[in-house]
Amino acid sequence: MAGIERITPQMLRLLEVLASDPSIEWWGLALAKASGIQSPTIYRALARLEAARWVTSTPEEIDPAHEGRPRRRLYRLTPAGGREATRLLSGYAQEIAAYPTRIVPQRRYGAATA
Amino acid sequence: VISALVAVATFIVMAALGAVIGAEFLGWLPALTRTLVSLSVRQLPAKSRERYREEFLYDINSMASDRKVTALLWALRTCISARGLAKSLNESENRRHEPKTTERERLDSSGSPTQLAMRHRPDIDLAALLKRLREERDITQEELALDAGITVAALSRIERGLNSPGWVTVVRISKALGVSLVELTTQLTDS
Repeated sequence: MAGIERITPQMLRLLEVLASDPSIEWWGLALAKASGIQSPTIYRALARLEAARWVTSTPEEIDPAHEGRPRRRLYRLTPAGGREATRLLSGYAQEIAAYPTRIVPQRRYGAATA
Repeated sequence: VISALVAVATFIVMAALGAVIGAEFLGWLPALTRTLVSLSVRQLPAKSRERYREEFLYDINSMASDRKVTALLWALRTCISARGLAKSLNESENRRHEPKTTERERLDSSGSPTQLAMRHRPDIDLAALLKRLREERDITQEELALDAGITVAALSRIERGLNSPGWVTVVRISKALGVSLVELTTQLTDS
């Protein structure tokens, strides 16, 4: 099982939102609003989750010309991702409950994320 | 009286000019935003470009048409963070071609259970030292974890000697504590 090399608070927050209801398909902007992570940043976290096969994404099946807007890309947890998310979130439940504000990114972690 | 008239006339002309330039600028904003999106996408691996162009355009499209400046700022941020995204995409692309377990991992997981336990037994001296250094600096576990880019739970386990931190983690923690690795090892061998 491919893993995530480093779990960041943003990643936890993102997984929390995704795992809150596995039947919902999210698109980037909606996830950004729900999780409070800035929308350009969220694509990086999603790319890492997708590489680890915790999340899959499919393009929305619409005709952009007919709808008058670009296609969304829909993200959802894979079954394996759902299990990993639940395991992680229960593991960090105390931290999440104790430091709700810490989950929202406050600082950059040095050059690694710049 | 004449100078007052001139002042009023100048004011009217300037205001009109300002309005015209403002309108012109607002008209240019969407084009500028689209250019920034193209610039962001160009930084990504060729395979992912079309996909992210669509995602970024959707996001910009969703911002109300009267929030052109917000959209522009968003595109600017995206452009700046695109390099990070490209890095993540390249890393995942490279990782896909790697063998599932490396030689190192195979060696790490070989041996009897006792040997394994010995190899991965946390160093309680290191645990105590890290905790002492943090307390000397009067910073909390949360602050240090945030600075080191690890979770509070991980730091807590390291300090309690339940987990053996890897090299990278030790480097991160010592950097966050403002201690050089030389200092850290010196203190470790002294204690």
